[in-house]
Amino acid sequence: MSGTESGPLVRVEGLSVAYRSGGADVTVAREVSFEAAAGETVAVVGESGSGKSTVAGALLGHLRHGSRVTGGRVLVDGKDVLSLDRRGLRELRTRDIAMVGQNAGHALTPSMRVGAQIGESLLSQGLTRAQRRERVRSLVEKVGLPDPGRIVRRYPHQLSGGQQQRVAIAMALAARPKVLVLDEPTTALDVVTQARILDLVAGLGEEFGLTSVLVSHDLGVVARMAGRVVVMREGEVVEAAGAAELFDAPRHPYTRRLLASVPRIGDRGLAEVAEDGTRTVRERVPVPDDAPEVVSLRDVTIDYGAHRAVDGVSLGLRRGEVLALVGESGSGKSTLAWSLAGLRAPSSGTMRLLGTDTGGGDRPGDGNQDGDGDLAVRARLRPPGVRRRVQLVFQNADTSLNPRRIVREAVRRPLRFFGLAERSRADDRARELIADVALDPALSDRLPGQLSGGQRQRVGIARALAGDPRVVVADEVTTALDVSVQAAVLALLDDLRTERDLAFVFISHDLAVVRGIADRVAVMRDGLVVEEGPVEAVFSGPNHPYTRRLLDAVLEPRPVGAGGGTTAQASEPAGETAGDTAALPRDLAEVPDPEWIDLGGGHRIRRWDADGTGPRS
Amino acid sequence: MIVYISRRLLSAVVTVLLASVIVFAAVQLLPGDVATQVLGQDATPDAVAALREQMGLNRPAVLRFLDWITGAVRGDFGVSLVSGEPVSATLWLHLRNTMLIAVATIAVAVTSSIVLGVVAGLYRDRWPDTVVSTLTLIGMSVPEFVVATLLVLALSITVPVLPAVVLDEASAPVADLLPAVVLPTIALSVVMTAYIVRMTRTSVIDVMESEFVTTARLKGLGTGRVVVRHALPSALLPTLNVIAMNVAWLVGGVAVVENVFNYPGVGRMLLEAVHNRDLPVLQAIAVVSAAVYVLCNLAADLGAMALNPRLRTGERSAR
Repeated sequence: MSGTESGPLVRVEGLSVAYRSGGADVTVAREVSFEAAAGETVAVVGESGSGKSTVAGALLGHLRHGSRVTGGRVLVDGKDVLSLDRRGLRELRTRDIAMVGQNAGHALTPSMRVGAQIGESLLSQGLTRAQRRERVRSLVEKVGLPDPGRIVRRYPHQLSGGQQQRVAIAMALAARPKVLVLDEPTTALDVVTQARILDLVAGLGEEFGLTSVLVSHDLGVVARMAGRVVVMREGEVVEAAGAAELFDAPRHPYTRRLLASVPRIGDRGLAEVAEDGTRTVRERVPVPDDAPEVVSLRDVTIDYGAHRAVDGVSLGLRRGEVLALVGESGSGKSTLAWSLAGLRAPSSGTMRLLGTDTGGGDRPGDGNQDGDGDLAVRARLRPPGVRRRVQLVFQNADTSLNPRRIVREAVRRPLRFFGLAERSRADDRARELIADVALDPALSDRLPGQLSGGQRQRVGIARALAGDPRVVVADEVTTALDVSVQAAVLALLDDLRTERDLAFVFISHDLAVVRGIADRVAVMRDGLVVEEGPVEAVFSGPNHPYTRRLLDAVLEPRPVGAGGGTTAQASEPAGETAGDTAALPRDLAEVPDPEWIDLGGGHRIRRWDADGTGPRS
Repeated sequence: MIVYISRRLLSAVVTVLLASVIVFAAVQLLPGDVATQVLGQDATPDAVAALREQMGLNRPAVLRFLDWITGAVRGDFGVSLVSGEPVSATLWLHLRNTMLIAVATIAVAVTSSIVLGVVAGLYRDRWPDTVVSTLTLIGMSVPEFVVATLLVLALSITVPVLPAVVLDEASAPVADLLPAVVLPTIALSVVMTAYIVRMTRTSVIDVMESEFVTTARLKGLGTGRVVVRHALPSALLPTLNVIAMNVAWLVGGVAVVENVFNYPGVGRMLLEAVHNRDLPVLQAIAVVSAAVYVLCNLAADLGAMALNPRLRTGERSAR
């Protein structure tokens, strides 16, 4: 590391940025100041609208269309970035500072091979073609991509999300920058991939003596990576401190609230955060033992062409119960949930909605009020009485609501469609539902674009409730929300569950959220359920090695070791077949079930190969 | 990829075939048939019957269609009712002449519109964009025959450098026709360019704001490289289909412009055939137009494959 030069390498002094909207200036950053010494990692954290990404762009002299700097300076290695001309900027970006963007899937040019994209960053260095090819190869190896010879010939869409992000990192490092700006580098990735990418970045940062500016909303990531933290809110810096100090004793009330809002994996319920940042964990309401089953899945298999996305899953869901599906992307959890919601019929197996009416007046399968119903068909083919009983809430409320219709329409439609409200009553009923999700009914005449992300997600929930469902499938519903908003939406879901006796299938990659809200957890991998059980049993173990890996990859908003360390609990997947899992009975002869290990209380674990990678066949 | 291309080719052939069925059927539905056309209103029923017998018109429509289509595949579209000459010989000559205009128009319009569209997109909301956008709006709102007439006024009458009307026969050598090609080409290019420019501009603006272009800029690449290597392949994708539709539109647009200039192309031939109710000629032109249309779309799809690796590399998608 070359951290002994005079003065900080990056210095932002009183930076203000504004853009023009409707004839008025809107400030996105106001007098932001911070600095980063050589070799240091500084994190800029904040929720959406805090201006953190604007600041990140400004470090490279980049502003969004329509924005301009209204004051302040940005110094990178002594150069005044904002006063550089075109040529100076190009020089800065090819030598001094590079950026890794949020979503490598979007940040890589789709029509170019990844090797060529990495090689471009080397153009300014006056190398021969062969030298460039050699450098690209070594960079690709450096970022841990497999089979460098072949991978450079691939197009971005042929790589997984984690591989794309590695390419983006190689691209940034190619220029041998002094400063690396990381704008939400792992937000689009699942926990396991996130942990690996963060390890890579931390390792490379140390190896090259990089100064890093990490922009993130994820306090767990920040705790893992940063030595110092700058907290931003609505364009202003509210607090700046060393990571250890900030996480231990946040001074500003906003920082305290922000920190308190992050779900912790140690919480045994949903956390509720007061204005002053004190958190209390809400008591979990247990599902009664005699709660009847509402959905039953038996050997459900879903194929996409030759690819088996879901492979023989059997699960049950009881009334008023929250069943969480967790697993990496590609584990089949979303496919399964979408199939349950009726977007895709399973290839084989049974999926049934079970009647809970004991009166016996209903014929099975006719879709009457509380009768049984076959869910193994697409929603279009389900009788209305069954169809409305299973509803889906999407991850992105902003793209799943019609942007040109007022939100009350979105809620009114299913009411009319399912014949649950007279024409004259439908509007009032829609307003009631909007009030039920704790939204001001006055907002019901707005367009989705005029609502905040959290408000839109509430509309999405109200829309799902309009059909008076018994089962709600919630697919990463809080993933796109800020932590404080997420906490409120989770509390709402929990309230609805108890008030209406709703059963939830809750998909999330955030295990802390899962522990807070779920009653039972099913861990999926490669289309198989590898572990299933009551939430406390799963989180306290013993576990399937894959579950262990997921749990180990969780990042808590707490710095690891003093000085913002580079060693994290997530760094080594060591002991994944050892530890608590070693305590499992693995002697086949004594166990009646050759496929599952039953730990009692509904907790079961799929047997695995000795290397912990696959199921036992 | 090969599977995709052959599937696409097959569907192109089927489309042309369907078009020819519809064309043939439409002609069958017209009141009267070729025999009454040839002999006129006053013909005796006996004469009509005799001619029908002679021309094979009494045979079932399906058989006649098969005859016609097998002939068409070999390039034989039957005999013109007016001149008594084979349709194909005249058609190929006129088609050749029209191609002169069409190819020149496509070359001029596509190049200039992509250049102008990219310039307008890159200089969004600044003066080059304003100029280009205003001009294209004018180009779109003025019909091509008005443009043609104005051009004649300017370049044939006020400053007589180019011929206002073509006096050559359809069979004139290409060299003789070349001066006559210029004005129709300009007239058609103006209108066509206008449409494509607007599409290119919008899609260039979209792509220039995309994350991957931002990333390329932040890598410190020069504007030229960012535009050509990163932005254009994606920006041209939506433009490609607009170009294909416009080229197909040319088939119709050319008919109007050819008549203004009295140019001996397919357009004029079509108009004459309509006047004379020359059914075999009409059928032939309709089928050839359909084939051109299908070919344009095929070319657009293949172009899209060249620009988009996702289409070329098959299923292996990340998600």
